[in-house]
Amino acid sequence: MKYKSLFLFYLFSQIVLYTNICPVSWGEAPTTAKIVFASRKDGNLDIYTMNPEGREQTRLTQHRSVDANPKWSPTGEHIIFSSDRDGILDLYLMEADGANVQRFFTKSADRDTPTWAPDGKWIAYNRWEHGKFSIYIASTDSRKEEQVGLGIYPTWSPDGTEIAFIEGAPRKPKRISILNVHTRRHKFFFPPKGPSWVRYPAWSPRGSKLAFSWLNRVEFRREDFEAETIYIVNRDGTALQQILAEAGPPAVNPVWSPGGSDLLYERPDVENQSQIFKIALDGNPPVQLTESGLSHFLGDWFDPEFALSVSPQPYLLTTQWAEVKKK
Amino acid sequence: MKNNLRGKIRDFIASEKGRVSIKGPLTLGIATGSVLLAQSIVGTPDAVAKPCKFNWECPDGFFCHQDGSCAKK
Repeated sequence: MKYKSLFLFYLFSQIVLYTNICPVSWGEAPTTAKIVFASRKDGNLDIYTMNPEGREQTRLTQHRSVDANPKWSPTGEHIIFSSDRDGILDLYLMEADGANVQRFFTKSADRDTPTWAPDGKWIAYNRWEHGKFSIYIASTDSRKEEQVGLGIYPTWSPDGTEIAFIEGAPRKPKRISILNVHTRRHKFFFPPKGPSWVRYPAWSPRGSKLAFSWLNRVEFRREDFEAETIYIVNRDGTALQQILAEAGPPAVNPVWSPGGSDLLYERPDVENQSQIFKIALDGNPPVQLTESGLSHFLGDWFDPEFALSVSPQPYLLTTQWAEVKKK
Repeated sequence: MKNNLRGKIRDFIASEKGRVSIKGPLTLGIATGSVLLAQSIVGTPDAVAKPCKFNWECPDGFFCHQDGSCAKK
């Protein structure tokens, strides 16, 4: 009887300890490279995965609401995404196979555009409040929020020390700014001469470059909108490179391959439906990965060959893994 | 008894003291409530309509343009 009570107490304490230490349940990462994306192929917007050739499309969410903006956790075990399934667009977490969908925050708010820190212990995201977009960060353990700036499209650098985001008022030209996670200070990065029509910054896997979409015009004119296309620039602001020609429908929302050799992006097809394209940075022509006639939206790319969760060391302002990758 | 009480309340509200302590604040409260209700429907001056950020936020065949609004190609 005594041992039985002791065993039950031990079991209970282990359950309490486990749920406190690991608020996120364990998932199983894909064993091959997978692109996660949102699609209207089954009616409303749901989350799917496919291989880097566009095949083996698998549906992960099945809900009447909008499910979009999926991002792999650094280890590939989880996917964070935006959904309005509880009446307001907010962040949700699920396992890599779509199981165990749960709200990320207890208290709902208008949150979107999640991005993971490279150690998987923090996320950054947007909140829409008082007519403005704000950048917030939150720990995946405590889920306590902290506002770190005003802007949209936050993206955490691979070494964990910086967050690139788009700064500027709604409907006005904007700039890419880079926030130092340690000091919470940010600096304008691109374009150097002043605000322009830039959006969707994305760090290269080594953190040495940023890809983004840019409508390289002084004034925004509706008739020019097709000129928006994908660019890459070095982290030090040098070597600006236009990846796709301005001709044709606008190319937006670049996503790097984990090896850094390819970019994914969205572009409307002839039927005016958004499609996912892949372009190799060695100059090969782009390939359409998704089926025409239905809308598909990015998205993130995970490859177990390149997956390793790393912890930033504030006093070094770097991570060992980022250093290894740079070599 | 009930009618007596109702009469007393009616007399009190009609009196100078009743106007100051009940009728005035009640009118002010209703007016304030109406203004707040109208404001919540129309929206505060700094609360601009939420702009789109991604193409998926727009209906099929529409895209999220650089100025942050959904528009057809």
